[in-house]
Formats: sequence, C-alpha cells, structure tokens
Amino acid sequence: MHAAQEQPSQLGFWGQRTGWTVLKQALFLEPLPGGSRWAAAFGSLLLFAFVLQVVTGVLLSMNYAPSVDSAWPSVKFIQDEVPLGAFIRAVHHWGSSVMVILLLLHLLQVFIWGAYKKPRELTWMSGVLLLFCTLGLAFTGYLLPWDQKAYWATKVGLGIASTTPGIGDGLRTLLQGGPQMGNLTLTRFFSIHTFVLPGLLVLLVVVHLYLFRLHGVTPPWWESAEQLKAQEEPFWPKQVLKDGVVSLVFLVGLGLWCYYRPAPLEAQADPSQPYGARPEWYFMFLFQLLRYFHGPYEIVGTFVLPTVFFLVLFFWPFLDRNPRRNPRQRPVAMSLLSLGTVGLIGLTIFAIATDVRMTEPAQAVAKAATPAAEPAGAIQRADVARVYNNNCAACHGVDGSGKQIRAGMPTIPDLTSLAWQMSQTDLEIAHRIQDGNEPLMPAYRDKLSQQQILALTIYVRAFAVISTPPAGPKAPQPAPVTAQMAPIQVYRVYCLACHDADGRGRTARKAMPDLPDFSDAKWQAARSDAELKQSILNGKGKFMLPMKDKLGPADAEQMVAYLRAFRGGKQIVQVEPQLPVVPQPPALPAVVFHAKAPPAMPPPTTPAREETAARTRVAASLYRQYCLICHGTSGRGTEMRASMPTIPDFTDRPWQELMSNPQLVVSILDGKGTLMPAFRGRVSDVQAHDLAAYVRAFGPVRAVPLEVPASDFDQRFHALQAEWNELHRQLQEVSKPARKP
Amino acid sequence: MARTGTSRRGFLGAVTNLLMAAIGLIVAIPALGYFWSPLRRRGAAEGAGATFQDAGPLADIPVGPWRLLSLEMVYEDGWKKSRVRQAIWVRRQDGGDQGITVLSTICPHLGCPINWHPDQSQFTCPCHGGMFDTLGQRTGGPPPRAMDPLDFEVRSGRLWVRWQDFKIGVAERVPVRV
Repeated sequence: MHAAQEQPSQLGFWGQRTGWTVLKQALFLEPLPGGSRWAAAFGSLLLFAFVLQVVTGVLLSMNYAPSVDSAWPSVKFIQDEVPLGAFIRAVHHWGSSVMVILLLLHLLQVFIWGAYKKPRELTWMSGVLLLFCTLGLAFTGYLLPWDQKAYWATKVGLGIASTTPGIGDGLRTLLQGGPQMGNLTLTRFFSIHTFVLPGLLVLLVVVHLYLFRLHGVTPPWWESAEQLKAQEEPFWPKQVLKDGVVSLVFLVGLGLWCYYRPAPLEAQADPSQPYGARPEWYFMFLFQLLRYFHGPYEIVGTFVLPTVFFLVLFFWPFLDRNPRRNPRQRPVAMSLLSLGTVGLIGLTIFAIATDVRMTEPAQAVAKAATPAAEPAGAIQRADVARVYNNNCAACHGVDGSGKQIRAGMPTIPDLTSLAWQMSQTDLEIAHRIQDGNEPLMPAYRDKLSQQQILALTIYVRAFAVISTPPAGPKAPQPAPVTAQMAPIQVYRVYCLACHDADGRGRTARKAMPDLPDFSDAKWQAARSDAELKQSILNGKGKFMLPMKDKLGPADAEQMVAYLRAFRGGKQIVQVEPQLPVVPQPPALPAVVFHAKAPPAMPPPTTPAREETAARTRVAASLYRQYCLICHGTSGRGTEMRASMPTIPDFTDRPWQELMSNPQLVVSILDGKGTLMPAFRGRVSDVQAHDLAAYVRAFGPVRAVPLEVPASDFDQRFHALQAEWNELHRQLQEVSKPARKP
Repeated sequence: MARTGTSRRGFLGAVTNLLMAAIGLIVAIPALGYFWSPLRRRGAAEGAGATFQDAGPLADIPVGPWRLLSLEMVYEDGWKKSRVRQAIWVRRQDGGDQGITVLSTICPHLGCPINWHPDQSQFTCPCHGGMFDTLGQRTGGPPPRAMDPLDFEVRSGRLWVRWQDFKIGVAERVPVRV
C-alpha cells in the first residue's frame, strides 16, 4: 500500500519481496485510543480458545473413525492407549465448554460497553453468527463419541428441531441423514463439525476482525475524547502482552483441569437400554424451559421462544437506537440484559439442581486420572449388558424373570428369585452358560469368550440384588421372592440332603437324632399343616434352618403339601438325572482346517474339554443336592455353623492346605465326624473325586457372598475367574487317579 | 520498530515475544507428542511377524510344483484386531518334512508380488522384470538379492510359517520390525 514511501534498501530482503512491513504496520501498530485494556482481551482469548480446539481437534481426528461401529471404540482407544490421548481429548472436551463461557463473557462485555452501536452493527451481527456456529460445533461434536449421552442428547435435540413449524420433519431428516438416527447421522455430523462449521467460523472471524479493525476498538464510555487521544498506544506490544498473559493463565488453568479430570465417556450408544437423556450443561436451560410447556404449547418452548430470543439478539443494534454507551443512560438495554442473563443462568442452575435421574448411566471412564486397570474392569460391565441383551434377553427377559416365555418353557428359572439364586453356586452358573442345558438352552462356549461368560455369571447374580427395592431409609434383608421353582426342585436343593429322597432321613439321623420320618403315618398325623409351615419358614430345633428368606408363605404351603405326599413311602424324589461321563480317547480334531480360512473364534471343543465340562456339571449338581444346604453356595458354611461348629470353611487357606485330596475324598465317601453323613452309594468314586476338586476350587480365593452389590464387579469377576481356573486345574489333577480301574 | 521506540517499549516488546513463544511451546509440545506417538510405540507392538501362522496341512501341498498359499494374521490395529492375508510360495520336494522351501512373494526390489511361471520354470516380478530361478535365486533384472525365505515349522502334519517383512532395495537381508 505505502511501500513505495520507504526506500527499497531499508525494507531488506524480505520486505522488498513480501511487503511484510506494511502488514506489520496495519496489524500490530494500529493505535488504540485510551491505550491497552484488560477488558479487551476477551476477544483474543476466545480466538485463542478456538485455535486450541482446532489443534486438538485435528489431533483427535487422526485416531477417530466416524462410523457407528468404530466411533466409540476409537474414542476409547484414544482415551486408553494413545500417548497423551486422554489429555488431548480432555482439552478438546472441556475446551468446548470453556469456549461457550468465554463467548458469553465476551458478549456481555461488548454489550455493556455498547460496542455494537453505530457504526459497529455489522460487527455485532457477525459475532452473533459466530455464536450460532459455536453452538453448532458444540452440538455436532457432542455426538461423535457415540456413547449413551451423545446418542440420546442428539436424539432429543433433533426431536426439538423437528418441532419447527412446516419444515420440522424435513429439517430433522436432513440433519439425521436419513429417516432415523444412525450411521449416516454420525458421518454427516462429523463432516459438519470438522469441515463446514470450522470453515464458516474462520470466514466469519475474518469478517469480524476486519470490521473490528476498520472501526477500531470501542473506547470506554467514562473517558472523554481528549483523554482517549492522550493515552493512545499501539496495539503491540501492550495489548498483545495483556492478551498473552490472559491466554497463558487460561492455558495453564485448562491444562491443570484436564490433567486431573479426564473427559467422561459413557457406555456405547445402545437404543435398547433405558437411559435418562440429558443435554450438555450449556443446553440445560432449554431442557428446563421445555418442562414448562406441555402439549400444544410445547412448540412455544422448542421453537418460538428460542427463535424470538435469537432474532432479538441478532438485530439488537437496530432495535436499540439509543446512541449513548454509558450503561446508566441505557435502562432498557441493561434491564433486558440482566433479565436475559439471570434467566439463562437461573434456568441452567435450576435444571441441574432439580434433575433426578432414573438410572445412573454406566461410566466407561474412571473419575480419577489413574491409568486404566486390567481388562476386566468397568468396561466389561458396560459390555456385559449388551452381551446379555443380545444373547440371553430373548428368553430370560431383560429383567431376568423369563416370564414372557415361561408358558412355553416352564422350567426356565426366574433369575430374580432369591431361592433360585441361592440354589446355585457361581461356578455352576458359569458352567451352565458355557455348556447350556440341552435342548432348551444352548451352549455358549463357542459363541462367547471365557471372560464374557464369567462376566455374565456375575451379571446374572445381580438380578436378585437389583430386583428387590430398598424399603425405607435402611434396606433390610431382601423380602422373600416367590420361588419360581417347582416343589421338587426346592426339595432337591434345600431338603433332600438331610431328609433323603424318600423322606425317611436315614442318612442324617445318626447326626440329627430328632430328624423326623416323613413316611411315618403317625408322625404325619401328629403334625398339623400350620405347624409344618411354621417349621419350614422359621426352622426347627438345632439343625433345620429357617427358609423364610428363600420361600414366601405361598411356597411354604406348597412344600407342606409336597411333604404330605411322602406318607406311607408313596413318594420318592428322583435325584437329578446324571448323564454318564464317558472319558473320550484323544482324537484328531473333527474340524478340517483350510489353508485359506483359519478359524476366527476360540478353538472348537476338543473331546477333552467336553469331558471336563460334563464332569463339572455333574459335580455342580451333586454339590447342589447334597452339600449346598450345609456348606452354602460359597462353601463357607456360615448358615450352619451355629448348629455345626466344626463345619469347615472351604475358602479358608489353612484348611485347604491341611486337607489332602485323598482326605477330601474319604470325607465325602465315608462321612466326617458326627454330623457329615457318608455319601458312598449316593455318589460314585469318580464323582467323589470330582466333588473334591469342586471343593478345592472354593479356596483360597475369597468367594464373595450374594449380598455384595453389583458395583463390586471387578472383585467378583476376579474371584470367579480364580475359582474357575482352580476348578479346571483340580479336575485335571484328579483325572489321573480316577481313571484307574 | 523496536529500534525507534523507547527502551521500555523495547523491553516490553521482548517480554511479549517471549510470552508468545512460551504459549506456542506449551501448545506445541503436547500436540507434537501426540502426533509423534506411532514412532514411540514402535517397540511395543510386536506385529504380525512374531508368531507362526497355520498355512494348512502338508498333505494338501502336492510334491514337486510351487504352490501359492495364504497366511492369515491377526494384529492390533488401533482399536480393532485386523486380519491381514499374505501370500507365500511353498514347494515340497519330497514326501517328508525336509525338502520344504517357503519363499516370500514380496520382490526385494520395490515390493511387488512375484509370480511363478511354470512354462518358463522361473519366478518373474511383473513390475520391473526381476527374474529368479526355481530356487528363488536371482537370475536377472533390478532386484538386489534373491527371494526372501521364510521360517517355517511342521507341526503334526501341518505347515506353520512365520511371516516377515524385509527391507526392500538393499542387497543385505534385513527384517523390518512392524
């Protein structure tokens, strides 16, 4: 422009070729009337925050993949495995919230200063458009991790967009990329977030800065024209210095915040999961506003009010023709500002404070900035719900009750039934999932990994805990849940071990002399139904445990009727059918390997694995029938210890080390002490060996009792995994002597 | 401009420059650290070349001619486990395990896949005409060395091969760490 005024030799090599001195003059040496100001730093700070978002956004996009299948895993990958990934992601996430705050502060400052008045109206309007862009960036960026919060917040947001009169549905379809929210929504939002809006924003920033420079910075209203001229300073270095200091403080503050608080990541988006959808905090005011408008008035909250607000904001310089910039001389403007600010902040605070979530969302990121733990962590729990829903919910139901299909499949257990839960050991549940229960329940050993099966076991346990609502401030013992077990099943689990299959109780009478003989007609006549019900529910004598925590009164009456049927020896309870376990000779695998298609899944079952599986099932069901009532599902024998003080705790390491394998087998076959009966004749030698292995598996890991809430997932998972591995190891060890003829 | 200003302004100017540089560094260092991460992680990932992969039963490979088999390898690819298939040339010269040769299909010149031509009884690379004899030794063209042999094992009648990448364009055979 004015380069010709300077001598070419003075410009230097670069000056002659690029004219950078002219640029320097225009950009940096512009005079500021009234000098540099801290208040003027807000605009630069906002720009700096945007630059930071661009830098971190570009870095994130190097590892992010915008498709429904890969979005969440790639974000998890960034969070857990990319060096500094969690930090960069946190800067981007919190940085976006900060940008909204800075934006509002800048808007406030400009408004109070009256810096929108003639001739700066267009500067203001371009600024409002920048506000739209920023909110649009926040909205589109929010969807990209495709976690639960992202999915549902966007779904609701698009629903709000669809209330726009006339074009609403079309608008939503356009934003969604199709008739429903899905893969195309994600790709579209990604493009808008990374290309369209940033491009638009940069253009608008250039316009905004150009107009700002054209008219110069708005001086404060309290200084006269002479004062302003006297204090005039160039932009560089003082204003740049002030801007720089503010930016540095902001940067360090944001960095520290992000270091200690990682960006949240919820479970992967799952439309089938119940979820309390909430927008991010800067849209919560709208969320709250919508609570006040119902039915046909809803459109007032979703469309009318926001549109009016933004139109007023956009055209404000033309609505406010008062030329004065002193706030005291602008009562209307200031009251509207106060009203708007207080209203928005108030709505936001009110929304957050009164928000009641129906369910807590599953978090996939730990709150503290600790490095990610081993594979079996909260992530597994998040996945387990999905694994359950995909594989089990069809029959067992989302709530585990199985009531939908019980009509056609009467033997399906009620997972919410405490009675059923207490009749199963953890190992048994795990093996049931793995081996199935032909022909009704398929085996999952080829469909799910071992981790998933063990995780599902703990998930199954959680049904009984969650299904009982806490009564009052302190949650007492869960109320007895009606057992969906047939009387024969109840008898087998809880009664057969002592009272025997024919009700005579011969096996245990040596240890328990008062044990009645159900087949004796005289005894039957001497007891009324009410008395029997009482005994069942509240226990009797030294050894019979109360059942009221497992059976409801209706079930107890059923059991009384069942008991009556033993009279005269007319009823013999069939013990659970045991398929004979045939040891298979080692053979070549049955599956033919092709050169071009090696197996993708875990290796198919070899005969040896199937044999172990069968033996485990046998051992588990024997344990349930004969041992569980005294030794408990955890093997600790806590329920019976009051009446049988010498009952061992299988989880006790010293006890496990004291007993050798032959001693365990002998205890099972020949009994132990006065209280444990001999099981020779009821179990075979091979089965006794397997039961010994089963007992070994309980210790020395602490088996966790049933009342532990599901949030102890990791602990229980590891405990179960150790039990599982121990059991299989023991069965392998035991197999050699058992094979001797 | 600093030359014409006051010394205080010169000092402020220097401080401002320093401040801008500091801000730039604070932003650039983590950004570069993140961007540079694939180089740092090189040691950690073992890649496909570490373990033996199943190429199929030996019985499927006829004795005598060169056979093209494929190996499927699974490796950590960010958040996915990716499957990559590589082709290998295998020849059995007798019925047992001794006369087996396994060669990589990747040409040591610039990396194109080499083809076997039974009518000419030689390997030829289609890109620049590199030629190799029936043993994989170089007979003509630009490649700097012979075709690269791959490690293999025979386990219960099946061939297991370890895939490796070698540096192209050099005479010395140097495995490349994936």
